[in-house]
Amino acid sequence: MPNIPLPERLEDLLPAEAETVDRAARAVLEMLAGFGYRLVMPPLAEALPSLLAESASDSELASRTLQLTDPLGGAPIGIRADITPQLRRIDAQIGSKAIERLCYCGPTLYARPINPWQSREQLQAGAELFGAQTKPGNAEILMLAIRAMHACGLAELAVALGHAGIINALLADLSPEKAAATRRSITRRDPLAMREHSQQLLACARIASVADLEQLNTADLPAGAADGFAELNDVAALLAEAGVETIIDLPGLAGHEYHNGVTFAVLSGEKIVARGGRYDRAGRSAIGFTADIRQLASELAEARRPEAVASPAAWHDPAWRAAVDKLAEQGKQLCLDDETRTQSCRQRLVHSESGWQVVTGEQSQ
Amino acid sequence: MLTVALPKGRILAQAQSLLASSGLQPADPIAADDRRIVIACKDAGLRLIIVRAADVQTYVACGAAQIGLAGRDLLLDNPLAGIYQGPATALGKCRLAVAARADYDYAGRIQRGARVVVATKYPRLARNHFARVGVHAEIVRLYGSMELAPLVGLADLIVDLVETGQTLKANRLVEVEQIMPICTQVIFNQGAFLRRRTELDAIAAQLAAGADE
Repeated sequence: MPNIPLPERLEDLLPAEAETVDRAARAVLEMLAGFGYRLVMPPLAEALPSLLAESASDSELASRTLQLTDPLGGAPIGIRADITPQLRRIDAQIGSKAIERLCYCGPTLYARPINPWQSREQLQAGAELFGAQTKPGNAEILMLAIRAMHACGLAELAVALGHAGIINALLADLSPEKAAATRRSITRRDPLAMREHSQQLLACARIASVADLEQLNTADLPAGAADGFAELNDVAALLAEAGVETIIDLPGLAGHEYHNGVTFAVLSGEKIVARGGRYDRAGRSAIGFTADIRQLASELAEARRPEAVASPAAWHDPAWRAAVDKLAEQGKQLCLDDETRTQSCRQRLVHSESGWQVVTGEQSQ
Repeated sequence: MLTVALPKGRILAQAQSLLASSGLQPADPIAADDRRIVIACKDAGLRLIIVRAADVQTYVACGAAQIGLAGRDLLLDNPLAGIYQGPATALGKCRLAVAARADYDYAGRIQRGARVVVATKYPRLARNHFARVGVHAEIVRLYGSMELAPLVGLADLIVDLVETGQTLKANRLVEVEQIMPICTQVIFNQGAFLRRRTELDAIAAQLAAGADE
């Protein structure tokens, strides 16, 4: 096997880390299943116009999507950089008017890493709620995003709330180019570029806490913005009641470009671990959250393996196969034929006159 | 513990009196030939890390430092994700400018559709500047001694920071166009900013003391 290095910014996850990531992903999906979310598995690649349906051609998502020509048919396809648009497509294809709860967990790829030292591959897990009313929908997805991060084993959680609808309403009078430049500068909070922006926008960008939000006079704001504040206040009240530390950060994070309602980031300590928001289109409401479980690996405690039973590998012996089936039913793991690892096992499967038996500690010596 | 990333060299030298009179005062003063890269502050909850100017953004974006000082030149040329920009400071004031040999006919050459070779540390800013006037800039990325490039025929022009203009003058180059004013800006780690905004705003205000606004 030639020792060819992996392409830049793509890495293996080796046993301990892979098990940690897998355990966290399962915990998220099991939690979501418990609330009626049905798992879907969209393909890794699909038609480019469908992956980028919600985004401008110069959007971040477009520049992150690895684009190629499909050797089968010659159409432009992309390797997904975000699963959310695929869920949106699936919901549209189901075509139901009823509430649809879908969840997913799968790899995504960035053509370029977000920062030069970051991985280009993610394991994106999350949930999308389609067709629900705004207030209960916001509450459900926010609370599930927090539960998902708890289920992964993360602590010290807080939520930063934003609202893309408010920002959109404040930018509505600008030309598309000017609006895009303004959006970039407020996303980076660049005070030197923001000098040129309207006082209203600056006042909104400065809001940092729920207390600031309550003091804001929304009377002079465009209609869309005032509605947004009402929605934001409602969500902030829910989080306060649930005892979740809440920060207001109106412009939200970069990458919230296709949202048009509440946006949010979940933080564990000072790390942003999940994000999401509302993106209602054409009469169908949609809100979801997503987390890159791969990136969380370093934040999570290593998965604990169940205690292993050392055993020779006697696949040709039917009695041995029956014995290991029994151990599997008990949730035990086997440690086969591995001198260095079997030494650490307290229990051993040994062959005696009465057949295969598990012996413990001293007995096994 | 809160970590503040400062760029070594010129900016750190300029920041000495600012640090000494602020809550970021080092426990032991920073000497001119100081080799320490982690400096404890009198306030035990703070420490300074001294890094290369081009690395400040990386330390802050990763969360190794919660706040730092970075040149606006670098923030605009190579913006990293995970950073919020804060107030401008009174440090590192200069301008990004185009310079050429004294005998170079800049106005005559910079015409729509023209092609020029530009040596710079700032490829994105230089390319965008010339693209705005319809000139294609072929960028030669250099890491220092920019002034040499037009003198030895490596490039027609340079795009670089100019503070007093003395270095240009000493090398018989002239500043032919100013691109933008540059200063050192406070930057925050995004997550830290969201979680510890009051604390970080207070430090930012101290670092921005004496700035124009």
